[in-house]
Amino acid sequence: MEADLKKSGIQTSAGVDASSKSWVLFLWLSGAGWLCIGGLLALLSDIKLVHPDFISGCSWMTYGKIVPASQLAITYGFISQFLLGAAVYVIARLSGSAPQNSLLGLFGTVFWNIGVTLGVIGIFLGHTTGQLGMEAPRYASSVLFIAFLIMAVWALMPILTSKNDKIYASTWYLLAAMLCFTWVFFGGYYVIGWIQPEGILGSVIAKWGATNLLQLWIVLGSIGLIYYITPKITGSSPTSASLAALGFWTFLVFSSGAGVSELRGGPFPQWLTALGVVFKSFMIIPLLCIALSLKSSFKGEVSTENRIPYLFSALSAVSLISWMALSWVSSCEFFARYLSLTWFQQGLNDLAIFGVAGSASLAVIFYSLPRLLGRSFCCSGFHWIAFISQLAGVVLFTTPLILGGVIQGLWMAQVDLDINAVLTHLEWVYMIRGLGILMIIGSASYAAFIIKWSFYQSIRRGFELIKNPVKQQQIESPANQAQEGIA
Amino acid sequence: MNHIALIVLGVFISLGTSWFGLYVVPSSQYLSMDVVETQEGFYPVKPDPMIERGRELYTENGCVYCHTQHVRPAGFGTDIERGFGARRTTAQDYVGQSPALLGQLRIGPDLTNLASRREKDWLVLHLYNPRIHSPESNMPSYSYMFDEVEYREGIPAGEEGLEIPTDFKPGANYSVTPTPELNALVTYLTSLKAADSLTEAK
Repeated sequence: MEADLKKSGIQTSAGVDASSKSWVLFLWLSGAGWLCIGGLLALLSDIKLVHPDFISGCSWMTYGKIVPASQLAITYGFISQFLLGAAVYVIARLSGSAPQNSLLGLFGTVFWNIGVTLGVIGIFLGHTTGQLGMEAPRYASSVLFIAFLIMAVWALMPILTSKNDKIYASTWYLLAAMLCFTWVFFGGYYVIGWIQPEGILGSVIAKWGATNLLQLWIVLGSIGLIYYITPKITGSSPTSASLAALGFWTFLVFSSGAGVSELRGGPFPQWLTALGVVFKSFMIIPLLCIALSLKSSFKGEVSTENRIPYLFSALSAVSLISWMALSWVSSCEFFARYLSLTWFQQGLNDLAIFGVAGSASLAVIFYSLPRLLGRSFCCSGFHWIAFISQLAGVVLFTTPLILGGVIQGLWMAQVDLDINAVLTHLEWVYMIRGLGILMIIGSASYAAFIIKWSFYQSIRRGFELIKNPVKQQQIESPANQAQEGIA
Repeated sequence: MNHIALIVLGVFISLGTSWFGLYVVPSSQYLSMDVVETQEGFYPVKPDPMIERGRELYTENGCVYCHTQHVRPAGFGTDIERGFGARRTTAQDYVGQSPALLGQLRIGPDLTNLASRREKDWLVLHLYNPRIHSPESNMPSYSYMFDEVEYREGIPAGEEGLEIPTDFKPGANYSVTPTPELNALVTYLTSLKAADSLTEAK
């Protein structure tokens, strides 16, 4: 069997995993590190809203600097690296080939982390572009763009060089997500950072860029991960390939113009926001297609060792459907009047990042780690704590902001209520959110801990292999791994 | 392989179309906009260097994360009823601004017409400690933009600095004076005024 695969140019799963392992694990570890930094900054910004004089004597620690720095660390440092790591693993597995060595990918990741660091430091130094959602200074965005190009080319190489002709639904999504990131990041930051248009044009392009990075990179990529991991675990395929294809194309087309609907009520021409609303209205089509096609893939037998990845995947799917449904409902004129300029939209963005993408990435991480590292975990009971922590974190971090946004909108509609009084009565939002981010950090830190622990185990096994090569080879034989259910 | 080419083409066309439609098409209209004549004079007025510096400080410190600078039309929110402005803001109000500091979340009040609501002295004290004027405010203090100097012998306390209520003073023998940066920021804030008679907004 192995000889046949070699002849056809398709690598074995173990070979694919071994080639991509170090890069994938490095992406996840640095992503977890950035989550800790970004999460603690988010916590600090929440504390500052309740206790405004907390660290107020410092020019680089204003609320207006902490918020974008935290968002940049979370978007580019945490979730982009988690997603990319999971995408590299999935693409390599589905294509049946991986880059022979991942040095270039590792180099791109180091470069990427330098870009994120420059971006965060730049914002603290006051070098922000001032365009909401696309604040990275010009020098940081240039580094990020080049680093992403290096990583994307290396990650997509298996698709281009694969002898396996079959293209799966998850591959469409992941390929499209990486192409979209390149397009949107370049199109957005080139205009904002280099052309710097005067007037409201910059705000339009910033909104286009920020919403598309969220929808067409973070969410689109996460859908690809769900399409991969769920059928793998349950053994059930999505309802129909044509439904999945319709969901994919409609999501891609309608998302690209839907973001500007959030500019309603602003000083923009009506045709522009109306166009955004039309695109947003059509988002009901991908919502239904994706929900229907994913529904059947969640049915099926789930083995004990795959229960945690399954639950993470289910959490991601539920968050996805909720996010799409709430985004769609909030675009209706009646709701938009109340929800405009409130926390509601920020709550939805957080749901997409932590609920959809964070959970989908963790599903792939918990599913792939035993395969990448070649052994199951002795402490798998703790995985439950990680899942509960993620679930509670997503609920506590996003729900208060969504609900708080609705309450804020309703109260702000009452002219006699002072804005300061409205916010004083909503301090609970930030208190609960603070607890939520700590739980999300806990869940990802646990994943990082088991990666580090497994690295330590791998090094120990290396030493054992030198001491007793025959015995170790027997332990690592494919037959033994298949028995453990990790092939 | 055909699928890959199709996906690449699909991404290029869908994002290319939206980028073209939202940036390239309107840019010819927006970039040709210039100052117009209103009943109050030419609008918007070209800012002096002090206002420009204040605007930079406003951007660098991220004030836009709490304060918007756009008034929504009547029937969409209660901005006009709240007195944030006499009319909705339009693209003309942002001519020459880069970036346009519109904001997307209203944690504090809208600042489009701040100059018609607040005096310079009020703003200086408010930036030193917002609780002096608004006990419920959750705005942070920008005290780092002030020089807090210990009282010098022979000069009565408070004579050369701001008049700050005793509870908010850094110490009995301290004199507080705004830095040039704070003065620039306040100059910018007191320049925020949208022309009421802009016909485009009627």
